[in-house]
Amino acid sequence: MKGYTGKILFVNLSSSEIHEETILDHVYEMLLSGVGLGAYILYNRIPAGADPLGPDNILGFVSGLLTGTPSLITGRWMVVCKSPLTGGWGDSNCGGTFSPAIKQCGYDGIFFSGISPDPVYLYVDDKGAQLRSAAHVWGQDAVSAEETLTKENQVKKKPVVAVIGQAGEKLSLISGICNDGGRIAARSGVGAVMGSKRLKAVVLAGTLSVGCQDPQTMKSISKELALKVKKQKMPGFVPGGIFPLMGKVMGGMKKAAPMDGMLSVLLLKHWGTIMNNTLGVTSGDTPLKNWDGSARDYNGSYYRNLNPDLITRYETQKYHCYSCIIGCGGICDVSKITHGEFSNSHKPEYETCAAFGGLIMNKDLDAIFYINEILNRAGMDSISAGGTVAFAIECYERGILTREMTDGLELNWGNSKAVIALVKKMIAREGIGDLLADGSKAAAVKLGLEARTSDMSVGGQEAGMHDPRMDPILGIHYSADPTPGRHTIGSGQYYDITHLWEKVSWAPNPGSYEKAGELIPSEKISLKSVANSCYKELTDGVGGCMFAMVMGVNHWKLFEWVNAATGWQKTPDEYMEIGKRIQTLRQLFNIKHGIEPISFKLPPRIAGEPPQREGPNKGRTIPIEKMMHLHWKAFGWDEKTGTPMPQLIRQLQMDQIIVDQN
Amino acid sequence: MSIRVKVYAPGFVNHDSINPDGFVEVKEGDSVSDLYKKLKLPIPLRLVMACSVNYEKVKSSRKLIDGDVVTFLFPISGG
Repeated sequence: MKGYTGKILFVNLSSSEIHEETILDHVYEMLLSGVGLGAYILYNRIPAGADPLGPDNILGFVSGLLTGTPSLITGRWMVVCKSPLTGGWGDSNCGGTFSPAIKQCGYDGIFFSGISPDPVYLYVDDKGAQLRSAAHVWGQDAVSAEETLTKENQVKKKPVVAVIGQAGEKLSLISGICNDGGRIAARSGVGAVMGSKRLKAVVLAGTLSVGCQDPQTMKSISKELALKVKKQKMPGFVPGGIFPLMGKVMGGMKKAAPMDGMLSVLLLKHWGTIMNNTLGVTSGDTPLKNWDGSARDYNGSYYRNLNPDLITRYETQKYHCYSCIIGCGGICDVSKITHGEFSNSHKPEYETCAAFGGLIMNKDLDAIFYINEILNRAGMDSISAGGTVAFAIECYERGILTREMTDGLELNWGNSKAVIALVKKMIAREGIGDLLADGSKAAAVKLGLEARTSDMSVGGQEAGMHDPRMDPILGIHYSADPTPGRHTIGSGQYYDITHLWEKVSWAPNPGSYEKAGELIPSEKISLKSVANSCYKELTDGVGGCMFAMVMGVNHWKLFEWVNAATGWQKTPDEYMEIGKRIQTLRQLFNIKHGIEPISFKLPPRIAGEPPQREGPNKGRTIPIEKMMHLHWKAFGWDEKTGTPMPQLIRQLQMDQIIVDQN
Repeated sequence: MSIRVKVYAPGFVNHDSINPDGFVEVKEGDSVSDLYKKLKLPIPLRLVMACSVNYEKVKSSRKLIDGDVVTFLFPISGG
């Protein structure tokens, strides 16, 4: 074996037919597994113009090529489909234990087409796969349904479950798919696709092992990394209150330079992603007041309540995803905060704290804990939900939404009680919640022209909680990636930490540079964004975590691991060509489905039009359209339209993988 | 006699002494503290900036040797 199984399971929910398919080696050599394998299946099999919530859409759960091998931090699973939120390519990923469970059933991916007449779940173990009735768990939240399905399917091994909550069942376009007690693959509206197929869950109980070509070399690389990570420990006396100062220093920097991602590991180990809660506010990274505010509005009297120490004091247990040695996750005791309604909850991530903190001018941390848990249980994306609530508040403040329209809720900035009530309505699709359950763009279209200037979605999806006015290359990724608005693809900061230029011949060495220069479109900036995009696709092809990706290629050794797993002996340049092929296939998917890439351009406000008048991002405007065109050109896509050029498709030998059956 | 150490330093230090490949030349026997001075790291930040040599926490009096990798703390965000 070469790390992959060479097989997928295909389930037609309309006919209940289940069959195995063999995937040829050359597909893996050209696209890896994970998102690459997903793109191969979906591009070729979903007909142009297919309804994302109809039977022709295909929903895939795909493991990474390195998942289950002796590599580290490679345990993320990918879910792929045509996105009902953007109308184009949709993917999302999550950690936990689901990714290795796919391979332990003997498959690299499990794909679903059609629509089941009744709610079902798929059960797979070493003996085979079966569709079973999910009538008894339909209507349950994701955590409760997972508990029920785990209990009733446990024989020897505890099964692993991916499941939707009420949001996915009710076809909310901002719903995701959950696993491991409320972790969530949240983006692209993947939960609505699962709900539309009346597929409540996938329950995996396989016990097969994953083989690779050279396990000793893989273990040796892993040991070296593990040793470095083990040494990164935060001194206990350093308080979370230090972050606002660090943020001010970072926000005030005129220059940037390549850094080493290894030391950031100690922050992740100690606090998790919430280490950015207050640092992001003072550095200019966190969007505030629906992207219209600054740290003057959301000042110390607000953000001090989001000090990460105030969150970790509720942490009763730290946890690691499968094969992870960082362990940024945590379980919190929320019984007192929620007045006994819930006992334990996943520690809120930074994205959730920002989306329901500064973005809506909220300083009520208890409300964030509560909202975090109800969203995880419902299976609703906290980034999109927070972005949509911010949109609704701005509309209310502007008089576009009235008290009558909000069912009596006073949606003022920072009114946490009203926000909790609103989120519950969104989950249940009740009253005003029905309008907002599909995200801010869909709501703005219904509310009319005036509301559109308050909609901060990018290509239909609410942007991640990182401000491109601080990091303009992030704006390129928000706008030019086939899944727009995603903060995990790349940024100037991420690129500087990857150190790709030390292994990839064409990746530019950024050296020390003036940050103001990032606002000037150039070939060098475009090459950085292209290299980052390609590397992210490789990361998603092997099941890697974003935080591993930004450790840098000299620590988290993706190229070396894949060579050892497969025996291929490819060069980093050859791997980056695979990344380019995956990204080009995702872009071709969008073109096939009628997406005009320029329509994913940042909304003017996020691009700094008009520029902010105060704060770290004061006066900064991103020439985003020019940057998108240069990014496309550097990719070998048409500079004007963003369509991959025929010569690139030939150069990447994509005729070997494009076998469009439609 | 001078030695070369690899330095990953944030944008607010003086990068004039760091070559394009990220190396700094220091005198044999120089310590981490001497490197701080060479990089003109502001004194208040010397107290709060975590720094490691070869990915191990060290005191600022630690003598540098040729080929050392000196890394400053740099928060990355996401999640």
